[in-house]
Amino acid sequence: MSSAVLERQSWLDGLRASHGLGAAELTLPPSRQEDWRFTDLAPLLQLDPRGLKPCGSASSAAWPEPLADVVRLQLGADGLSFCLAPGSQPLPDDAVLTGVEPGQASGLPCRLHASVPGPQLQLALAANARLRLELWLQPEAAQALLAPRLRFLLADNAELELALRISSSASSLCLPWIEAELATGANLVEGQWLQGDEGAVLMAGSSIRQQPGSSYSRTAVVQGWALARQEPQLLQSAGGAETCLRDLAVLNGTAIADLHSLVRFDGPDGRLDQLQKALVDGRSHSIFNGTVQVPRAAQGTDAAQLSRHLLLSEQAWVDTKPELEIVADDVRCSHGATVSSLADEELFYLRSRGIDRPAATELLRRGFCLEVLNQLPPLAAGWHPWQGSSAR
Amino acid sequence: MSESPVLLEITDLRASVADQEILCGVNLTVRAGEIHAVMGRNGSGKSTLSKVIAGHPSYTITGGSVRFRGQDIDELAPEERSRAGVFLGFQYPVEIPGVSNLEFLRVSTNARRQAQDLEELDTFSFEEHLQQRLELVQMDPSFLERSLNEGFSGGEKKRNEILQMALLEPVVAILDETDSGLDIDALRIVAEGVNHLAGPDNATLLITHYQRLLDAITPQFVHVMAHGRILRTGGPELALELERRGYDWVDAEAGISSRSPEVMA
Repeated sequence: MSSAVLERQSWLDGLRASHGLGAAELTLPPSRQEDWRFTDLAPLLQLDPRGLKPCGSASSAAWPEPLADVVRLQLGADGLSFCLAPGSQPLPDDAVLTGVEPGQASGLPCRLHASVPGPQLQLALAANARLRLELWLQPEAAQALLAPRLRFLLADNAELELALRISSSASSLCLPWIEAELATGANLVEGQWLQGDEGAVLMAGSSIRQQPGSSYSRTAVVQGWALARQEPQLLQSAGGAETCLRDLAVLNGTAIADLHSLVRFDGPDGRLDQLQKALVDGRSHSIFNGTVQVPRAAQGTDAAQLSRHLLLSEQAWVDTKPELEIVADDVRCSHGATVSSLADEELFYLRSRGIDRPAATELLRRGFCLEVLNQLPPLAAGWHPWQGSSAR
Repeated sequence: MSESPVLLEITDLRASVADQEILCGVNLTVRAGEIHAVMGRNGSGKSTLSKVIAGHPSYTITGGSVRFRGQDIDELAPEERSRAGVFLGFQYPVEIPGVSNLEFLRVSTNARRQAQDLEELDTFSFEEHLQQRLELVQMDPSFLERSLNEGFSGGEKKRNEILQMALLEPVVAILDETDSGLDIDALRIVAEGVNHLAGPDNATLLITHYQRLLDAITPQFVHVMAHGRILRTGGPELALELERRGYDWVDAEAGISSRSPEVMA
């Protein structure tokens, strides 16, 4: 057995010893596995699996008050439950705060998540119901283990605006998992702000199922982290739904951000609009793998996917791979990928107006990011530092 | 007019890009209160001249000098030249998604004001300051809320350039083919803006192919550029003659074959 395999085995043994749960069947993928070919798991292995513990929320005293129509949840004192934040509206009666069973999903983030305890929320919105929900998850201590499980069931024409904010300190492991089922006409608008210290690891996943006529929009921002792997999986189970994905990673140092998305259309006339962007500086590494599956039943699908990277350093690295699997013959599917550095002509234009090079560079960086940041839902719009300076 | 101070003095200027010499000895003197027009074929070096004056980093000055108000500006960065009062109106203003036009205008205006020892304008004050300049170029205020030049028509981009010129109040404004891509109404509006901004203490250098811009903005001096040099200088009548006769006769009088390889713009 190679030393790399032994190291992974040892790490998993530590996790089992610590939590004694279902980690027995868990394995870490070898680097030869296609889905993990570019992703260095070293930051995960550098965490001490025995030291990782759930812990309560940081003080919310400095947080702004929730808006009048908003339910805000934060971590309970044990880190294993959610509780209402001060000033929050109460949860709807049909919200369940424990015992949420994960549905069918694959992938390491899901398996890791299922192996450890964490706070849980299941929420069913009745037909035509509306809810605005914030989750501020900021564990207080280092070496925090945070594995929130969220499950949303939206009946016909229900609307949910969800804003998820995770801020994690060094040497912690965050394993958020979100599931949603959207009935006809349901609308889920989701904003995620995922910020981690340079030693923290994020393994995030989601499984969204959409019925025809439903709409799902996700805007996720990743900043920091030693390793951030996200695996959003979406299924339009009978086509005819709308899906909009916006992702931004802001990377520096030796950070690794990896977005592996999967969108599948199992019926006709589905729509997808996907934009992934990353600003890659220092010696960081951005990975994008966007799979779109359009089987024969998915005639009339209209899917567009674009990956754009801004490379700011000679040591930074990008691997981007759009992956469209199209069997249906009457579809409109496009994809594109660009990797570029700051454009000299843009820099000169700004400098010729008296803006010095550092300020011009910052303006261009900001402009690159704002295309995604502007799409954050209203509840999360204030989380980015350039709110109010955006151009539309 | 000859009594007025020299604002821009270009002496035997040579410049190259990627080891190809584009400017081969340009001489030009611009005084306060003057409007100059530089004309010439495509590839004669007109746009290169404007970029070299503005400090484009892709161009290397290999000889001669550019002096602005008596100071050699060869070593100044583009932003330092701008703050000192040099303005380049671009032939093709770049589109920068995500950068708010309004914020860009405010930041650049404050950079210039700082150099003029004027108080910086906060967001509120700047919008007041902006209002009358917007009227000058008859620009729809909704363009301020958009990304810089993104999705603007050719005419809107050029109006935005003149708006920047109005805000920065340059000492020497170089307008590189500001008339290209403009319809008749837009050309009139832009020309009115330039005429309004021209005064006894500043100077304008128009780079153009066409007499139609010079019908609206009357220069005191017209220069003909070819092969990286100014071959001939005259009054407004020279532009009319060029319109009538083309450029071959200028080349012939200067003893240059019109079939010589063109330099890049």
